[in-house]
Amino acid sequence: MKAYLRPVLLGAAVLAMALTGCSATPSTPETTGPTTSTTTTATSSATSTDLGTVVQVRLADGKVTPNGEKMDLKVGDVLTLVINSDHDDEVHVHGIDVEIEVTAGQEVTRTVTLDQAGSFEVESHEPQKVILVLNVR
Amino acid sequence: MVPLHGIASRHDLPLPFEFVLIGAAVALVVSFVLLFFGWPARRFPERTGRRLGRVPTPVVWVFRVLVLLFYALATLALVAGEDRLTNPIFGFVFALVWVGLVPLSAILGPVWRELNPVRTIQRGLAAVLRRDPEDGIIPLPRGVGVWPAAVGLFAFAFLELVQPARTTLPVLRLYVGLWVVVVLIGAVLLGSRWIAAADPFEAYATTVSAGAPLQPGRDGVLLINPLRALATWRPPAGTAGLVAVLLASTAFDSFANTSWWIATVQNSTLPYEIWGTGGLLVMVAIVAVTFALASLAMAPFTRKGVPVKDLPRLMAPSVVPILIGYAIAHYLTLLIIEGQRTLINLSDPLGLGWNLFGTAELGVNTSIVANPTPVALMQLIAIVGGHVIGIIAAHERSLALLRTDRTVRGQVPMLLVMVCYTCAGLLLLFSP
Repeated sequence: MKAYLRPVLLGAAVLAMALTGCSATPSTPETTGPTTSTTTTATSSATSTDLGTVVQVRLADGKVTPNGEKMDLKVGDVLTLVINSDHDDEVHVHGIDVEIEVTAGQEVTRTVTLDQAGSFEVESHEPQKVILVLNVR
Repeated sequence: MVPLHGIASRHDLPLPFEFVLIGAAVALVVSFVLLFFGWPARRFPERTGRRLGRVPTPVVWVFRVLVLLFYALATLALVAGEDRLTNPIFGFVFALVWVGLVPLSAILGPVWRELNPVRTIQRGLAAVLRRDPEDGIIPLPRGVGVWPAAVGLFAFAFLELVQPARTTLPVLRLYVGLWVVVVLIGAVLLGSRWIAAADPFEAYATTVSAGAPLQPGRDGVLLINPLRALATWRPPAGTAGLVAVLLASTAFDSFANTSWWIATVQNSTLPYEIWGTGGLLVMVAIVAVTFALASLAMAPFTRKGVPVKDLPRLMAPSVVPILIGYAIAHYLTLLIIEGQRTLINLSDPLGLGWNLFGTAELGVNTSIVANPTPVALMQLIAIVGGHVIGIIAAHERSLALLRTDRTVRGQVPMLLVMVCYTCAGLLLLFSP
C-alpha cells in the first residue's frame, strides 16, 4: 500500500465504524435483549436432545410471547414449540410449512427439524402476529 | 407485515455483520479516493457508442404480441382463477413484473416501453380510430414528467407492504383495475406520452434502463459505456421523487423486518395499516428530504445558468445505480424462486389441470439458496457495486454542474448522503 494512502484509509475505516455504530445504536438494546432471553429460555427449558431447542409460546389477550424475536439456528437443528393459548388458533412455521392447530387452554407440543437455510417466520393467525423469526444457516 | 406474505415464505438470511463493515469501509474509501483523486474534467460529455444496427420492425411486433399474450394469460388467472396462492397472478405481479423489470431494463435498456402491453393496446386503438398514438384528445401539460408514476409507485409500495389481504384476488383485481383505468384511459385522452408519465412499471423500467449498456440511438441500437449512458441521460421532471419513493419502499421493506419494528407494532393497539402507512411515508420523506438537501447544497458552487430548483432532478441519475443495487440485493432470490414457481403455475392458470407449456409438473429448484454465503456475497456486491457506480456518476454530473474551482467542495454533501444510503442499505440487510 502506498504510504500516503494510509491516513486516508485509516480515517475512512474509523468514519465507517463511527457511521455504522451511530446508525445501529437505536436498535441495539432491542436486539441484544430478546436474543439473550430466547437463549436462556431455550437452554433452561431444554430437557432432552431429541427436543432440540425448546421455546415456550404463549398466545393471550391478542398478544404473542415471544414477540417477533430472532433465533439463530443451524440447518438440521431441531426446534420444539410448547404452545399455550387462550383461544383457538393456528401457528404456522413458514419455510418448512408446518401448521400447528391450537385449542384454547390445551398445551400443544410440536417438534420440527429445520432442514433448509433461510429466514423463516413462526406466526399466529388469529390475530396475524410474528412469534419468532428463525434464521437458519 | 412481511413482504409478499404468502407467496414468499422464505426470506434471505441477515447479512453477516462483517459484511456490513467491509461494505461500509469499501464504500467510504472508494468515495473519498474518487473525490480527491478523481478525474478533474468531464470524461463522458457525449452520448456515443458502437452502432449495432436496427431491430427489424416485424421482430419488435412479434415480441409485442408475445408479451401481450403473456399478460392476457395472467389476466385470465386474475379474472377467472382460483383465490389461492397457487394462482400465478401473485407471482406474476410481485416477482416477474415488479422485480424482473429491474435486471431486464438494467441489461437490455429501455425495452419495457417498446413492449409495454398498454402501449400495444393503445397503438391498436389508435389504428382503429385512425389517429396518431402520440396524440390525445387533450394535450398533456408540460412539466408533468414522471410525477404521476411516482404517485403510482407509492401506491404499489403500499399494496406490496401495507395493504391487508394483498395476496387475495379481490384486492389485486381492485389495484389492477385502477392501473388499467388510470394508464389506459389516460393514454386515450392524453396520448401515449401519458404512459411514460403515469405507468409506474414503465417509468421504473425506464429509470433503471438509464445506465444500461444498450440504448436507442438515432439509427438503431447503440452499445454504450453504462457510465456514459448514465452521465448523458436527461431525466424528466419528477425523477428525484420517483427515485426517492423506490429507494424508500425497498428500505422500508427491510426496516419492517427488524426486531424493533415487529415488537413495537405488535405491542401497539393501533392497527398495522396505520403503522405501515406511517412508516412508508416517513421513509419516503427521509429519503426525499436528505436527497433534496444534498442536491441544493451544491447551489453555492454551481456554474452560471444552472437552475437551483433543477438540481435534485439533475443529480437523481446518480442514485439510480444505488437503487438497482438495493433492488437486486433484496429481491433477486425472490425473483429466482418465485419466478420459477410462477412460470410453473402459469401452465395451469385456472387450476384445471392444464399444462400449456409442459412446465406444470416441474419443481422449483431452490439450490441457489441452499448455501447462505454466496447469497450474502451477491447482496454485498450489489449494494457496494451500486454505490461505486453511483458515486462515479455523481462525480461526472458534478463536473458538469459545478464551477471548475469548486468541484471538490461542491461534491461533499451528495457524497455523504450517498454513503449514508449505502450504509443504511447494508445495515437493513443485517436486519437487527
